[in-house]
Amino acid sequence: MPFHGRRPPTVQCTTLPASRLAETGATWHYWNSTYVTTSASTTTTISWDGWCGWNAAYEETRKQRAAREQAEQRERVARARERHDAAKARALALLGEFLTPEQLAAYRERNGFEVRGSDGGRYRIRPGSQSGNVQQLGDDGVPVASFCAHPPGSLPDADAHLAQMLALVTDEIGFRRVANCYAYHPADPVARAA
Amino acid sequence: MSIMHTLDRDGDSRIMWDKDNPDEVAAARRQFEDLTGKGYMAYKATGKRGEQGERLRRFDPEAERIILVRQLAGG
Repeated sequence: MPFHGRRPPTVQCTTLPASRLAETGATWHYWNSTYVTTSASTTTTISWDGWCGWNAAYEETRKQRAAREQAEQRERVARARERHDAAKARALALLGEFLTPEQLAAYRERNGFEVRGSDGGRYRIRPGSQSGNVQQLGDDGVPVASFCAHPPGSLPDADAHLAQMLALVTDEIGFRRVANCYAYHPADPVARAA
Repeated sequence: MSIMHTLDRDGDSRIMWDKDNPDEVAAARRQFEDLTGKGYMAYKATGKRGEQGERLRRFDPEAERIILVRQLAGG
């Protein structure tokens, strides 16, 4: 329903001269400006303002609005994903500058890299998470406990791991003081899997 | 040329300074003091490996690399 239930406008009609019919766009332009019909007995003039108005003003239907909002949401998600991926790559590059090639390979391909704490403790910082990802290792390399401490602020994982490493190598006792600790039982699958 | 990394959700933002340039040193010092005043932890890394790092409590213009990060919290 082009007029959305409203009263249709009046229409003024005029006959387009034949000589003008060949002009490109003339018919469409004329149709959009005025439209007048004349009969033998009466002349009916109706202003086709509605058609001009229809072409000038555009009201979005509910369905069109929903489609537009969905498209805008998809674009926002795509931009957020791009930003996240760029941050992740940047953080990994920075962490890589602090690790030996062996540590970086272990971080990427295996179960994390090892560092020595400032108080002599042996730790492994595992990728994939910022919570509970710091393991304390025994002399035999088997994990004996995990620690959970990370910087707030939704940092990329690699940034958090860099912060954990710096905290351990500069102030191991301070790190253990703030971190939550979970001690592994010897029969714990995590300890056995290491 | 020295560099200071502030770890954030976009990876990190960086400020570089030449220790012989007073303006650049002043700008880096301002950033350092502003963030450490807000509770950020500062670490100085000597060379490329963190195992040679130390906590910084005051800005050191001679530092090659400084890392600023918000204080760790137990999770």
